[in-house]
Amino acid sequence: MSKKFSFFHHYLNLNDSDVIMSYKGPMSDVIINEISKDIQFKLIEDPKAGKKVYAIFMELAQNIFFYSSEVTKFGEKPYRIGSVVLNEDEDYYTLTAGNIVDKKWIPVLWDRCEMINSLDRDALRRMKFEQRDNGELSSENSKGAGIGLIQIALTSAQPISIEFRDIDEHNSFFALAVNIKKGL
Amino acid sequence: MESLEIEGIKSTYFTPHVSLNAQTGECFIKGESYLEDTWDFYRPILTWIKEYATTDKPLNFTFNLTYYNTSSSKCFLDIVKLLKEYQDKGGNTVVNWYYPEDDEDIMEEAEDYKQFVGININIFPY
Repeated sequence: MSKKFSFFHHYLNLNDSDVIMSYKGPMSDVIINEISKDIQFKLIEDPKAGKKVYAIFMELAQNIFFYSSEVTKFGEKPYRIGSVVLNEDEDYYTLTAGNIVDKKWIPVLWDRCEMINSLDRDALRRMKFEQRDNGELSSENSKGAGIGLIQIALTSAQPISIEFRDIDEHNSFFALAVNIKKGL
Repeated sequence: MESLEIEGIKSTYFTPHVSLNAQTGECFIKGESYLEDTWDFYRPILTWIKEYATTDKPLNFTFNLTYYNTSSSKCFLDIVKLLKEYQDKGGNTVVNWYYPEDDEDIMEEAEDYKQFVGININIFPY
């Protein structure tokens, strides 16, 4: 796995000038839509990389929308809470997503991420196909096709970094970061 | 049987434009696909294809998508598998897949459907 990523250091070190978009809060469908439009607009001068950033943002936001363990309610409607940050340096855009997960998912996510980072592109494509073929549309950990992380790795063509930090006995903060090369 | 026509809508979610013609067998899914309930949207489309496949008429299916999420891609796989089934039992089936010329990710997906399902897909940039 590539250099260990620290969400906390990352956050503290963010310069305002590097930040393209930053959100923390309830991840509603309306918010996802607004942020996605904002990203498309801001990266319009770099269309190929911009579309990749957009597609990866959508998968990350949907992960939070479906799986974050932190939930708030407005009226009767529950919303899952999480954070997504998009920033840039000279060569790369970086998308970082964070949310609270039940600790039982830590080994699953670690294994999945390590596996993804260890495979070459052809093997990843095969794995995505096989998992999509077997995917259940409505099981507990797979409301989509269950291949979001693989798709993120394929779209970015970069390793995925993940990190966990315990919050209490049952919950951990899960952070994921991925780079997208500029000017493709 | 009846044709099925669904207008594409772009609001909070994106509904693709779907056109399934029961008279001519000309079918397409076009636009962007990101839905509140993906399975709910695609179920009637899968049902339509299964029913059409009993007519033994030619079927010309075109995918023309500029963006879709991974949940939608699962349903596209289900569609491609139905087309393959129809072809295997002798149905005259042509599958076309158009992708935006600068989007290699969508092209790769089309290649994957072609390779792993084992069906001929004509892949065109535009």
